[in-house]
Order: sequence, then C-alpha cells, then structure tokens
Amino acid sequence: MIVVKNLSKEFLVIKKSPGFSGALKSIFFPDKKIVHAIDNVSFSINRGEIVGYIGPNGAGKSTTVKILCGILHPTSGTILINGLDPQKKRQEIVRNIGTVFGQRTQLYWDIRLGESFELLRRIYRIDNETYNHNLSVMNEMLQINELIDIPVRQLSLGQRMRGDLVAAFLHSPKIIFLDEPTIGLDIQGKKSIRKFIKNINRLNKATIILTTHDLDDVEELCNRLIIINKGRIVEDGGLKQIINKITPYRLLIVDAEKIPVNFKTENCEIVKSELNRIHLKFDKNKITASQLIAQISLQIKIVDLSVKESDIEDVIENIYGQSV
Amino acid sequence: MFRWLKHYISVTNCFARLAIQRQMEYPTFLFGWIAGNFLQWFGGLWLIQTIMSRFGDLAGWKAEQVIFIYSLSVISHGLVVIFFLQTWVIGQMIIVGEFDRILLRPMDSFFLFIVRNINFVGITDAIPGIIIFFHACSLVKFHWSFVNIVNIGLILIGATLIRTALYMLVGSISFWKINRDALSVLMMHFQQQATSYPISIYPYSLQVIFTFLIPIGFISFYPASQFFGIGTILDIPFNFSFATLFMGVIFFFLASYVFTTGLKKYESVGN
Ligand SMILES: Nc1ncnc2c1ncn2[C@@H]1O[C@H](COP(=O)(O)OP(=O)(O)OP(=O)(O)O)[C@@H](O)[C@H]1O
Ligand SMILES: [Mg+2]
Repeated sequence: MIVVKNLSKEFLVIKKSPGFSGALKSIFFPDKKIVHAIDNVSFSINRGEIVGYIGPNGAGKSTTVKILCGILHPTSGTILINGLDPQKKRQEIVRNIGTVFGQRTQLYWDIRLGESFELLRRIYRIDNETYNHNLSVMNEMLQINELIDIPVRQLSLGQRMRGDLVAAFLHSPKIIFLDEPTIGLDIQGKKSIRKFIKNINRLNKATIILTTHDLDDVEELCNRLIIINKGRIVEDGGLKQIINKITPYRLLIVDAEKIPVNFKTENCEIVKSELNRIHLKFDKNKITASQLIAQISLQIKIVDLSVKESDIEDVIENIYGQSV
Repeated sequence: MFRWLKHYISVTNCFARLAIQRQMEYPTFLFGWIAGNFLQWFGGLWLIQTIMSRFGDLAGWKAEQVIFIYSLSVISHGLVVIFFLQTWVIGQMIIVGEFDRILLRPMDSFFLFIVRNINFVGITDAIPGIIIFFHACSLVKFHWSFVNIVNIGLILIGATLIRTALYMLVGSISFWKINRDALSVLMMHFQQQATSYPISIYPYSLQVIFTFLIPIGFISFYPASQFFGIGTILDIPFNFSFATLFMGVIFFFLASYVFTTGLKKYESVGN
C-alpha cells in the first residue's frame, strides 16, 4: 500500500554567522551546508496498520510525512502509494489522504468551524450522504456539533484539534498522516483523540501513520513502530519486539529489613541501593525473576517486592541516548 | 469537462462566501479603509489638478485627460486589491506554510492560489476610482457609445491582469530567495506612480521599457491616448483596448508559468 525505497532528502541551508560582519560574510561567501534530513529510508506499510513514526526533534519525521503526501519532492528514492508516485500524481494521491499537522491548523481562522468543513466538502466533492454520515459518526466520538458554529480562533487548542481531525476525515481518506495530533492537549483530550483514532482505523480500515512525542499515544495505538534518528531508521517492528530487542531488562525492586553493605548477586546489576530497598536490573533472557528472588533471599530477608517491565520509554531513552 | 467546471466554480463560490464572512468579522476595519483610501485617491486627484493648473499641460495632455488616465489607474488598482491581493504576499504565504495547505488539496494549485482570497475591502479603492472616472468622463465629454463601454471593460480587465502579472513575477522571487515581499510594496508604489500620468513624460528608452518589458503603458496611458487621439511612440493600427487585454493575457500566462515553476522549486526544496 505504501512502499518507500531508499528515500533521501537533503536540504541546502545557509549558515548565518552572528553579527554585522557575519551577515556581510554570508551575503558574499555564503556558508552552505547540506542537511541530510532523511537518509536512505525504506519501509512498507500495509492497509489498516497504525504505525508510530517516532524519533527525537529534527529526526526527519515531518519531512517524511510531507514527502509521502506529495508536498515535498525527495532528493532520491522511490515512493509508491497505492501504486502511484505522489510526485507525479499529486492530485490523485491527495484525494485519498487525510492529514493533521498538530503544530499548524488547516482550518480557517476567522470563520465558523462549519464553513471550513463546507469548503472541504466542495473541494473533495463529497456527496451529501457521505458527508452527513461522516459528520454524525465523528460527532458521536468528538462532539463536534457543539463547536461547529464557533469561529476557529475562539476554540481552545483541544477543541481546535478535534476540528482538525474531523476536517482530515471528512472525505473518508484511506491513508491518514497525523503529525503530533495530541500536542499540547490535556489527558482527557488525549484520551478522546486516541479513542477516535482507534475507532476510525477499525471502521474505515484506514491506514494511519502517527508521529508523536507522547509515548502513551504509541503504547495505546500502534501495533508497529518505526523509529527514526538523524534521518535513518534505527528500528522497525512490533512494540513488544522492539522492547525485547533494545531493552530486554526487568527491574526487580526489593524491600528488605536491612540491606547488607556488601550485598552482591550474580546475573544482575544493582541500579540503586538504599537503606532497606534495592533496585536490581536483570536481563530476562538470562535469568527469571523467581530464580533471582530465590538467590537473593539466601542473603537478605525480603519484606516486599515488585517487578517492573521495561517499556517504550526505556527504549527511546536507550536509542536517543546513543545519539548524543 | 462540464463536471470539472462545476467543481471549480463551486469551490470559487465557497471561497468568496468565506471571504465575505471573514471580513464581516471585523467591520471596524472597513471604516478605516474607507477613510484612508478615499483620502488617498481624492488627494491624488487634487494633486493632479493643482499641478496641471500651474503648468497648463503635461507632454501635450490636458488636465482632464490626465485625470482620465489617473482614474483608469485607480480602478484597475482596486480590482487587483479585490481579486489578487494574495499575489503581494507570496513570501509571507511561504513562511506560514500556506502552500503546504494548497498542495494537500486535490485541485490545481495555481487555481487555489488565485481564488483563495477575495478581498472585498478593495471596493474602497475601486469606488473612488469609479467616481473620479465619471468626473473625468464628464470633463472630457466621453462618448458613451456601446463600443466605448465595451472598450472600457476590456481595458480594465487587461489592466488588472497586467498589474497582477507584475506582482506575481516579483512575488515569485520569494520561491527562490527568502521572503522578498518588500519588493511587492515597491512594485505597488511604482505602478501607482507610473500609471497615474502619461508615460510620454519619460525619456524614450523608458517609454519603450514601459511598453514592452514592463507593459504598464497599457494600463492607462495607451488606451487613453486612443480615446483622445494623441500620438504616442507606439502607433499600431488596431484597437488599444484589445492591445491591453492581449498584453494582460500574455503577461498573466507568463507570470503563472513563473509562479508554477517557483512552486515546483518549493516542492523540491521546502521553505
Ligand atoms: N525547509 C527546510 N529547509 C532546511 N532544513 C529543513 C527544512 N525542513 C526541515 N529541515 C531540517 O531537516 C531536519 C528534519 O526536520 P523535521 O521537521 O523532519 O524533523 P521532525 O522529526 O519532524 O522533528 P520534530 O520532532 O521537532 O517535529 C531538521 O534538521 C531540520 O532542521
Ligand atoms: Mg515535526
């Protein structure tokens, strides 16, 4: 459905030096620098998947999204969306694409929300039946009717985001790009938007590509992750699979009456040691929790314990950590 | 074809409606514009009358004939403000990502650029222009024949297209060099200065430039010269209203080509 092969995108930026002499210098001897925003990226995404496209700031996420929907042209590489090249068939591709750029609304600022929808209805030639059906389905999930007569500039961030989501789905797109759709929202707002994304994916069999810095979004929504860093894909796979691969650790937290100063165990690492609590990190492929507990209980008197799985947060920390 | 046309017309109508609503949100602005623009254009009229009463005539043009030129200039300026104001702010549109939004829609991007804003505030420019035009017509005893009315219509369309084309050509620079909207403001002042008076006051070489290269002579000067039978450097045997329209269409197409090329460049480079 979406096939990306060896995609690269370079930007030519002119480095500005500070001060007046620097400004002069950059006029006559511009210090040009090539930024490899995307570097030889390949992946393919099937119909109906929800893919989390994540990475640190400046990793190249938004650039990828822009290329996939035909706004930007790649420096090299090929893209096929439903067998078509978005560069050559922009209008056709874009008909079946919905986008939300969380940082920037696509609604018309000064007029009531409903008018923006009406404009989209005409641009995409959505027939009345589909339009009304889509609106009522989305109203159930996002309560959009209560906002429809308010000028967009008077909407709160969360309300505006609901508007942007509805706008992106009005024409029943088959592929949806969501670039930070939960940015700046409160917990309630995030929850309702996640629920909406899930439902739409199920109802329309829509393919969703989601970029976000909110790892709860990822955990709740994505069955697959593509992690990008400095323009390169570093991981691509299922959530559990990636966690297992990058951080196959568990944390065992033990409360004891007293932790001996010279306490030592094998097959695990002491992350933190307090007076009567100790944090142990262990590789779950090497030792099971019960083996470890048995081993410890020989030395100390365990009062209480808990095991914590590593999660996507640890994975991200691990990957981003390597980049600095 | 018919369906295609219907689609594009329906979108155009919708944009127009949104534009009216948008401007209705800020009614007080309108009064400011009315006051400012009326003052400016009638002030310009007063200036011409004062100058001309001192000098008698200007390169063989009488005061009322210059006023006629001036009125054509003001009306066509007003029409540009109404229909094509966005051609002045291409650099700004690039910075705020407006073209991303345009490129996301399954329609022709040049079309979406052109219809996206209809700025009704521009009638505060056009109305003074029309008043001054009627004033000039009565001074020069303009013959209100059917042919002449059609000619005026064609001239205004052609003049609006020429002006818009020049704005687009200058504005498209922003696709290559970062925000050069300041040039559009310069272009506006230039157009206003150069089309308010007969271009025959300039040296021959400038007249040639204003005829073929930057064809602002066709906005007001050449059409007026034909109405009054005043000789110019350009002696062509056919109707000047067609010449204006012809130049307008040619330059508009040229400018839309440059714009589209610029947009392609934008797609390949980003902002
Ligand atoms: N139009 C542009 N011109 C020059 N450089 C650009 C342009 N757009 C993006 N870049 C550069 O490309 C790189 C990738 O940017 P991109 O916006 O794709 O990052 P991102 O992953 O979306 O980051 P964020 O999480 O901050 O949104 C950055 O180094 C950025 O500076
Ligand atoms: Mg981004």
